[in-house]
Amino acid sequence: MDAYARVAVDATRTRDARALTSCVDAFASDSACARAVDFVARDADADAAPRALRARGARTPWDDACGGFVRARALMGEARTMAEAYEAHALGTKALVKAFRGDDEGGWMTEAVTRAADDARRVAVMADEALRARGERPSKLADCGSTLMLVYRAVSQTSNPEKKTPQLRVVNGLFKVYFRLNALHLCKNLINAVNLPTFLPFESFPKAERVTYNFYVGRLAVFEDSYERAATHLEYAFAHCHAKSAKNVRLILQYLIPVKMILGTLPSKELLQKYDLREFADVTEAMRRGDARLLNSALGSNESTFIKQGTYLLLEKLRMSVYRTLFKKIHAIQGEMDPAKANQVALAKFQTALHWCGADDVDLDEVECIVANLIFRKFIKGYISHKNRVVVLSKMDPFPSLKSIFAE
Amino acid sequence: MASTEAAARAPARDASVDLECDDEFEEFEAREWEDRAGAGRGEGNGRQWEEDWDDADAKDDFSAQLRAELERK
Repeated sequence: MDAYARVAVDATRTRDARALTSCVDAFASDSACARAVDFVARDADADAAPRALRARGARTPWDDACGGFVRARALMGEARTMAEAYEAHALGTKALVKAFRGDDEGGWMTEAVTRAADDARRVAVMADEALRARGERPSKLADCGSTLMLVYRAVSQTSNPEKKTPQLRVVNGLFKVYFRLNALHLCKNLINAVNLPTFLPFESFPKAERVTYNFYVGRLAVFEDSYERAATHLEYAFAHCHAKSAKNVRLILQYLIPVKMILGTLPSKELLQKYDLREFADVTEAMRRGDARLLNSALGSNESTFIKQGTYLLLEKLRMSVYRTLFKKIHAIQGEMDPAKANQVALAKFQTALHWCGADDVDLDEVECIVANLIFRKFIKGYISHKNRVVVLSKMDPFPSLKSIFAE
Repeated sequence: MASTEAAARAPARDASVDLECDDEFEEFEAREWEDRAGAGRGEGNGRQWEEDWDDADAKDDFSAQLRAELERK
């Protein structure tokens, strides 16, 4: 314990950012920490570590802060005590936040505060994993959300801008927690917070954090069916994402591609190939051709992949766009077959095409319903003559480009 | 030696990454970097997005088959 206590006490006295961060680190493996962990036997009472630190000159709240982190580190060795490890870590974080709040010149502590906030999430996930494995209710990640909010308030309710630098990173951590908990309604407050004047200017944050933030805001917009907003944020993330982070680039495109397709832009073959997104190849081709059969088979054969990605419902929305293009082709063929009636397409023709595309059982009323829907969405300009079972198309631009529809 | 034992017990931060969900954005190693060359627009030589796919003349196989089907009925 002596070596660890010496590092911790010196760090707080000399305001040594790096040394303090090493004391906070829940995954530290340096020898001082390892010996301290051995000192704090896993079955020791919760105050053993703070007591030992106090005996070696640590003042409050540093005794509880560093004591909490060392105890967490000791308890993290086994799944059995992982939930307790999270509790200890949370106590350490709370005490650290107290120290941070109490020091107006606490800019030097931001690295340690950031470390604690990042680790809190990881330890919480591990704790919940362990709880789930033995059939207990996982609750630590939800608690971690509250802990991170505590950190967020501490780094925001200060007039010292140096103390605010962890703001965006903590917000991103909260996004990860809320997405994992499926508590997306809580994300709205985070976005509001980022836009407050008390938040540091967005461009002042590191690119890593700006990209992460835009990814989550984009995903959130997808859930809200705000596709243009989603595209803006996901495009930002894609444009600035680190080239070597293949997983992140892929994740961004996984949502950006369906969103852009809904808005009428297709991914090129080169793009799908370059980032190994083959699962979108057939959907893209179906969009290009107006091939309803291919869309169905593409959605069917990749169903589990798309459901896992959370893109299935998004891609389902392309069905109407595919019908539009199919109808456009029928219109072109009709124009050649019967130029005098080029702008009148019998619903039966569309029905024939749909049957041919595999929708065997679609009757004329359903076909009429689909066309009415296409007209309502402005995918097609024209009207239906119900009596004659004919679609009368506008002579001017009967099939506006999807891009222009959404640009309105 | 006790400390070695503790070090061996220590879970690694990397190992906890395994607990990330498939759709969780991973932590970037760097904080700042240069954008990829031409990122956003035409990356490399190939273009990334097709805006004009809808204008293409309908002369593909699918269109030919569709025509045959409509003429047959």
